Amino acid sequence: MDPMQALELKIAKFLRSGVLAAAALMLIGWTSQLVLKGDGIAQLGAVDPHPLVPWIRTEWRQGHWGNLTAVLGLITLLALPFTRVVLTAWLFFKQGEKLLSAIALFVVAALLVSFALGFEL
Amino acid sequence: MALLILLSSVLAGFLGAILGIGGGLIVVPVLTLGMGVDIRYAIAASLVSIVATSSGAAASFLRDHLTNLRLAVLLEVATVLGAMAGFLLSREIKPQALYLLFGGFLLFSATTMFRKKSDSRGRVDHPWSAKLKLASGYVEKSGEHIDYKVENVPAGLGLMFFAGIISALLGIGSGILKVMAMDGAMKIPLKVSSATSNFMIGVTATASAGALMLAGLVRPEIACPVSLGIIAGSWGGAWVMPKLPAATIRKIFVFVLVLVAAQMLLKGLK
Repeated sequence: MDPMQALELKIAKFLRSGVLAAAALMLIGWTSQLVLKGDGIAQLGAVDPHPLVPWIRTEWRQGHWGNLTAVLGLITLLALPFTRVVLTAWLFFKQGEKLLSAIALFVVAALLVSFALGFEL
Repeated sequence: MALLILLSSVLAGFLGAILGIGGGLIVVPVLTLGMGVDIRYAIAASLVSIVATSSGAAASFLRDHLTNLRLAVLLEVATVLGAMAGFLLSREIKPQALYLLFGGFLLFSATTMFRKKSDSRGRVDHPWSAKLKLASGYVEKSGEHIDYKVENVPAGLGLMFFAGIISALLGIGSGILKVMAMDGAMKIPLKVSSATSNFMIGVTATASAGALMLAGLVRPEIACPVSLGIIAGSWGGAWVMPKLPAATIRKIFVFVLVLVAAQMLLKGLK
């Protein structure tokens, strides 16, 4: 198998397993929260942001495991493309494609900066 | 209400898979116009679901060797920077303006879907493409080997930057814009453009969804049912797609898009 095809297959396997794991966590967390606490959608008519880190602390203290599991699923999902770009950079580097590897690392850096913008809000 | 969101997301994922569009074009109007959810929460939930569908579909496209991974890595630079710019812009834009922009984009999507696309194939490699070895090929089901070169890389990067801005502002994958950039400007065959666009959409959406999540705008109450529904719907859609009259569905959907666009525009003008 040519190295590019091997690389594509590795990434495909990683993405498929990741989506399944994230979906399982979201399903468990969301349904348990739905059964125990209701849907809570009525409060979402106007924006009232709860920054993620302090919100996780509060949910942890209150023992809202359903919400925490659901958020873990969401984080797993959002981590997939990020990890995929890191993986691509590493695999390109291993194949001696240094320029493409550097471009992929630039994308990783840009993603990190965009996440940091979320903290700023 | 949560089950309604789940069911409408299943439908959005199903239609999205059949029509080759992301579920965001359907989910955002359903959440805002149908369920009274604030448009900024709806956009954040939609962005998360885009990551789910893109990652799932990208796995299949990679296995079929349709995705141009080298090209995707290069274009992701522009889409991620565009998404960052879009995220910063979204902090300044009022919800009314978002409704107007979304309505306008729906009309644009309806027009694009209605027009028949012709396939392109690049003949002259752009110097940047030659340097990064972006030219590639794929095998059709008939066994024919299609080789292509990549033209006009700077124009493609510019259009991808714009697609990134629109994606972050409206909570959509902006796959239509990405395919137009690759197919129209860079002369890449439509199948490769669609597969590569799908592969990149997840990274573009992650740039703004990650920031929105940390800022507290991704709420599990809607992001989870929307993502789960769209994942299930898109798998179902991909499974039944070969058996359905896609052309007829496309025409009906264009009509629905125009109606929803009118409603979004009216809400924005109020």
